[in-house]
Amino acid sequence: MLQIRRVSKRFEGFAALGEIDLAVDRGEITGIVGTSGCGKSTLLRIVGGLETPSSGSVVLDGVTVAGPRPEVGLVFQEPRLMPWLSVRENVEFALARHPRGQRRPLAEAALARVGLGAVAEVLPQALSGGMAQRAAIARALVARPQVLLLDEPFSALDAFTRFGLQDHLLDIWRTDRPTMLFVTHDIEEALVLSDRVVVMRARPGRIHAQYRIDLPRPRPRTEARLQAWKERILEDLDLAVKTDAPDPEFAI
Amino acid sequence: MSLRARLAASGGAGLVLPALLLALWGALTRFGLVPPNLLPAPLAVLRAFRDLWLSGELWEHIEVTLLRVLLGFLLGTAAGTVVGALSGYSVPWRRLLDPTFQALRSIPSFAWIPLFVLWLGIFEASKLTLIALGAFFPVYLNTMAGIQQVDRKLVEVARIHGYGGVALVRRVLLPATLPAYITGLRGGLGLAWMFVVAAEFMGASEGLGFLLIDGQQTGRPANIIAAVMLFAVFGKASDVALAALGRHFVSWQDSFQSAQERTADAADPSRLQEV
Repeated sequence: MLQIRRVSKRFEGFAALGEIDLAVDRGEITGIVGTSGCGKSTLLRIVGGLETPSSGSVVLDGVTVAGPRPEVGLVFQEPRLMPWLSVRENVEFALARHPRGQRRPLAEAALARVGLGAVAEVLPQALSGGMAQRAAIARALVARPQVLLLDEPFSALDAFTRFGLQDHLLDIWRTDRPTMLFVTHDIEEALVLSDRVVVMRARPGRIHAQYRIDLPRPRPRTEARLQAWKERILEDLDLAVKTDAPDPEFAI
Repeated sequence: MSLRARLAASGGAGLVLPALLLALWGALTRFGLVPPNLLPAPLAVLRAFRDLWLSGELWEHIEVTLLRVLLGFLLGTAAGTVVGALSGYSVPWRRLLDPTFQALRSIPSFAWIPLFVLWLGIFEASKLTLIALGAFFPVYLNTMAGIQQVDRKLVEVARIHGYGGVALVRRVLLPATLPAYITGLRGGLGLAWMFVVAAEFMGASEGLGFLLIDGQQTGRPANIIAAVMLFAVFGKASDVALAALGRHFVSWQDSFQSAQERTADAADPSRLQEV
């Protein structure tokens, strides 16, 4: 179980995160949505041990997170592959704690799972954006982390590649069952993937609302209930299309 | 295929200008348009090469100069690497070292010659120091900049996977810095060649730089031209060797130059015909 306890973060006088309380069950998929500047990425970085909270703590199975840990895998918006290492060596990079002899077969298996077995020996520069991101996912998963954190993992990809990778991620989740916490600005993506969607708002970053999405997977994107949730979340973020009187703030 | 396309395909385009210059040079001297005591004929230069070679003198000069360049370059590179790595890796070290070295860099390096001669004498020590000084700054600056410019995001990936200290340096900082470092080495080697001439002007009795001065003082312009050509050949050859070594280590780099070369290849008509 992953517990975020009264976590706040200030950057030089600016409150990026208010007090965040969130508990995520083992194997649960939680999507965090919010407009830019709501602190969702900062929260993810704190859970990943890349930032220290100004107050509060993150506790994973009773142990306080105080830095990057092998039980926690991270996928960023960009693939962040080492350009001088082959795709396979990039995946092996995540296996520094494993005995030397195990690294190569594990990396090859992880690449085969994301459909990159054929390009294991090429350099990252030869990969398309979607392939590179799949390689990054393979690197994050190869050490079988208990928690997988994803920071807008598909936002730099085109829609077709994005849908493919979302399905792919669900396949991986079905077999490995990692706890997944992902940040996105794509509400639909959050609704299609998550057991729970957390809506954050800015100044300071805080949790505004949470929705449990108890629909069976795979979920069609056009599902009426998903669209209804999407409307609600857009309203939460003040982004819903106003059909009645204009908002006084914007009235001339 | 046109002559132009054929030349481009064989990589021979770079030889056109030297060939034209050689023809012009031959014509100017052949028809007596320039007096031979100022510009000797190409054949006279060849004869000078032959005479110097047969007397065994030429190889001595070459050997001495090569050794000076090599030792001075190695000294300067070693110092530039250490100081550059310290300044690039650690902010306190950079604050301590960089202002001083930037100030030293703004002193024209040849201004050191009188002091070096005074302190280290007229022989090898002052010469090697001058060459090392020339090689030092490009290596220092590029090493420091290369380390500073390492993608912070890649360092973060390494931290996530538990890399720190020596492992972080070896697996991420070193390979990421290598392209800039090789640029620094090439710059340093170029300056080492430049400074060896200055060093050999200050009272040497052998070396290609000495051959230049000696040719001037004894009125043998063919020797001067022969020495200048040897500088061109060795300077270019050593740079090509270093660049090839560099490419071997940074073949992964998707650099501007390699992209440019690929585009040139793609535009090459002879290639399209083969396909």
